[in-house]
Amino acid sequence: MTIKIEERIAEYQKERDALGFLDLNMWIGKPLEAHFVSDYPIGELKKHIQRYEIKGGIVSHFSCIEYDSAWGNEQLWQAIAGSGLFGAVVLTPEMFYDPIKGREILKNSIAKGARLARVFPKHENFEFRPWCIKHLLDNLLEFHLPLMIWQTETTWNDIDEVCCAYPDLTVIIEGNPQKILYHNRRFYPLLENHENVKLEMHNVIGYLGVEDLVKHFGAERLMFGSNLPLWDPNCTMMSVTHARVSEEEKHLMAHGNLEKLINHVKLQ
Amino acid sequence: MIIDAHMHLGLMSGYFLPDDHLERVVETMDFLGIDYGIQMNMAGFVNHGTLEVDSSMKHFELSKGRIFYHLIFDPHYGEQSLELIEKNMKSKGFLGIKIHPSIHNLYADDPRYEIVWQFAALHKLPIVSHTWAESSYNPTQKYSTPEHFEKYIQQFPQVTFVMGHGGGRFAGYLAAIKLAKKYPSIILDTSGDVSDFGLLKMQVDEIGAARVVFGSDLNMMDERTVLGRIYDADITLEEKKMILGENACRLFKMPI
Repeated sequence: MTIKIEERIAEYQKERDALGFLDLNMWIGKPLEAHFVSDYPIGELKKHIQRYEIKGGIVSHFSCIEYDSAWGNEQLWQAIAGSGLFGAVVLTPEMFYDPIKGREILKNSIAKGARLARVFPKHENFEFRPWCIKHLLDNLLEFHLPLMIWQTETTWNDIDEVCCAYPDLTVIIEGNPQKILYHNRRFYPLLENHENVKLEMHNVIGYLGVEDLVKHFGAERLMFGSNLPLWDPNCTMMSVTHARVSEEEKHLMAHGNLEKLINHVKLQ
Repeated sequence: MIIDAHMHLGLMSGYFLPDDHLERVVETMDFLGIDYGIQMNMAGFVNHGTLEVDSSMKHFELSKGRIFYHLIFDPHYGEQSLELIEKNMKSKGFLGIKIHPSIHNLYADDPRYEIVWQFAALHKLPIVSHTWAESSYNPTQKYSTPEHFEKYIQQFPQVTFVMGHGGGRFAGYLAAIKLAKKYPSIILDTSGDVSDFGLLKMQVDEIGAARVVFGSDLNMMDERTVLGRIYDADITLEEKKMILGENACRLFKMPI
């Protein structure tokens, strides 16, 4: 049954390029931990976007975590200006202590390209619970801005509580920096109980996991993210190109779901 | 030819597997064009040696000779564990020995590992081990950092030694490469969530494609997450072919 490897490779690259991936999870700046990449400016990202046939997507800035959210956000807006890429604004509770100012921050961020919000509650020492970030969550809901969170930055109970309180807020869980696989007895019920929960895919790496998640919850719940420059984008791309699901479902995971979220954000 | 040289079959506590039936594994191998696999049965990690051996033989037969196996050495039951390996090492499908210092909570350079290296040297068998970097959220990884293997690698240069996961995380990758440059008996495998951007290219540049082997870590990890990064790596087609199958066939002396 020996196959020609060069044909397999060509087939994969062709399918990848044809799917037109939009990337939910690209980063610039200095990674938080030592890595093969020590600094990753927007120019390098653009080269890799071209190299891996990524059609666009959402960029985050490491400085928002390792230095300061607001400062990092400004670095991000400057970097992506005119690039055609969107950004992820990193939010902290005090930005919304004055609700009018908080609203302005979000409005300005969206004007500068924000199509996603992130929070890092553990790192920034706050609770991912409505009593602590009510105004922040209220504003995200108002602007239809989806919220992304690492599972290591909160607890599954807190995610459940936020999803119960805000059923119309899209909450995207990213398995980072640990494998999300070992939590599948937690995130399966979460997906079942909350239609507003989605998974970013770079760490959805469990054996036959993509097919099983699509079967149980639908392809609408999975969104491609590369985690560039830390991860090889091909890791997740082949999980989509060679998923044993319909072509329509592949397109949803590769770009359709993200396009829908981006287009849903209120610009005014 | 494509050989997945780092697979697991069997069960493991802590999470669930959506579908790990042998029929599904073989069918997925066919779909992805993977000709052969080498698995290490999960039962062997928790001292269910007989179940491990029986399951491994059964899987080899049922897969029509496509899924070979290594048997797991448990240092806490050293002699008993080696006896089981010795008794079954002539069985069809057996290729080598697996060790896992993190699961067994024992540093890789512990004296209790010496007998398995002696055994491997005597019988010209390869040893495959879990390797990783120290981890803040998984303290048992400290038992398997590449540096801890040097003692026996140096003592038994004739034993082909595969560093599973190639060191596991950044500090481990660098340590594994450093050791591999020093000791030609070391091979690195690609299994697990070691999808770091640039890793494979660095391994190939530093030690050569002949010493890198494709493995997935199925039935935990999905084979596609590893195949994609090999298929599209910035290395030559010949290097990809070596990594995807030629190396495993040669190193494990696979009768195919």
